[in-house]
Amino acid sequence: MIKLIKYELQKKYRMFAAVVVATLLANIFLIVRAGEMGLAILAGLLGVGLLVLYSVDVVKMYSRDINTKTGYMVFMTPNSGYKIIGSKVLTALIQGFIILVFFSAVLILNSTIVYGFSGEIRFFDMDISYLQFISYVAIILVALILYLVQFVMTIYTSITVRKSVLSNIKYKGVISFAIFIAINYITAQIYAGVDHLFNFSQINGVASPAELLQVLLPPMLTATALCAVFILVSGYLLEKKINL
Amino acid sequence: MKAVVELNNVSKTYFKKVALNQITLNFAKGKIYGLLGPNGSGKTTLMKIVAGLHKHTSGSVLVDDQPISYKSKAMVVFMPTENYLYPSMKVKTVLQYFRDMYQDFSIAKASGLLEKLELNAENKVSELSTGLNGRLKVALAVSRAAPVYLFDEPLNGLDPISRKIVRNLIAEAAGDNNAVIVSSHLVSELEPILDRAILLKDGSVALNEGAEEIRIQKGKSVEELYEEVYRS
Repeated sequence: MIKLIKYELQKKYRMFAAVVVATLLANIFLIVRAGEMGLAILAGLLGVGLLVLYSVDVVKMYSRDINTKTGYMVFMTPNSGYKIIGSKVLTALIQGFIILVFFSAVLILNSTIVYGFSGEIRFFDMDISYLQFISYVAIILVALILYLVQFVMTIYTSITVRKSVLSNIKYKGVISFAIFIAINYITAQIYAGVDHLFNFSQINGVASPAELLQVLLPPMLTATALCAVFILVSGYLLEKKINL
Repeated sequence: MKAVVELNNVSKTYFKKVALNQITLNFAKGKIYGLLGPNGSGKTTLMKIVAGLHKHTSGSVLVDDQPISYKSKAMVVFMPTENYLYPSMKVKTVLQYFRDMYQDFSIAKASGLLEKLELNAENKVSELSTGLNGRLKVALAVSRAAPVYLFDEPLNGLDPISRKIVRNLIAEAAGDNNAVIVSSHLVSELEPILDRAILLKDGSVALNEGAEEIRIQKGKSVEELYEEVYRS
């Protein structure tokens, strides 16, 4: 599986390089032109941009392999369906963490450049320590990445269903889309159930990183469990029913 | 000799179209099989089933007594007719990829073949011509040491020189320890290396005979017989 992940990541180095260069240029332009305001604009744009890029790239990573002939490179190898889908998910997680580190580093560096190094950082009108800032960003982004990967797995599962059990059926695209909607409806109900069970919204005021983690831990664990279920289903279909 | 690939009553349907209809075939080691027939006769479907890329609708398929799974993929070399190699990879990276994915892949043999086939390891796959891409695909396939080799239309779209090179490489890959199955509709090009000819017609086996028997007993070449079967 490590070898599969290695080649997945290798295919992305150009994209990573392009993101770093584009961020650097946008950073220089915005901070020179707009100063403190530029920092806020960049943080917003970079956050949304990275999120969109990440989502699109992670979905493409699987759909390209399963829908085009280059997928034979992966599916002809003596790796089980579980390993193949597992490697995609782990690659998505690694990619997410790289982006997370990159995003945090850009924000910290920019803050240091604009405000100087004081051991603290401006975050939503609060002066907080770098450690606290990293804790907030890490918790929020880890939760976000886990949720995103879980959502991506619903897409992966729908694609796998289309190329396996539905491959000989007319309107397979429409049916797999309906399955995708149904899966997401069910997962939304599960999240709502978990939310109800742990009664999240009991913290008043600004949550500390520990409180934030306490709030976000149940949905993070739910996302992880759902990912495991989707990996098992997709892996089984890849192993037993696939028609490439 | 015991068959290394056994297909028993194998059928495959797409929607209402029957791609393979109750096929029963055995492939033994030590022979080169020609899987012949026009486009749409079921050659590629049959190969993809053995390679584990397609699931058959009914019947059973065994490779070295094992049903098709990720384990059987370690015993099967499949060279698709399509350009399936990652276009952004350099040739040398493709070799490393094969070394990492297949235990039976010899990077030394593949590197030696690159030179012989005038392939530059530093070139990207996307920069290769159809002929060079075909040569690379065959070089990768024959650099593995598996009991089953499947070559799907290996001569398609190749210039005469590349065709000769590819045909020779396939013949050299064949040995007592493997079964080589080559699909093609370019019968005359392939005929000199075939031990057995299997003609598929509309998803069924129309003929399964030794190439030598066809020539001696029927007094015809495989190509002449091919024309006879598909003209009728």
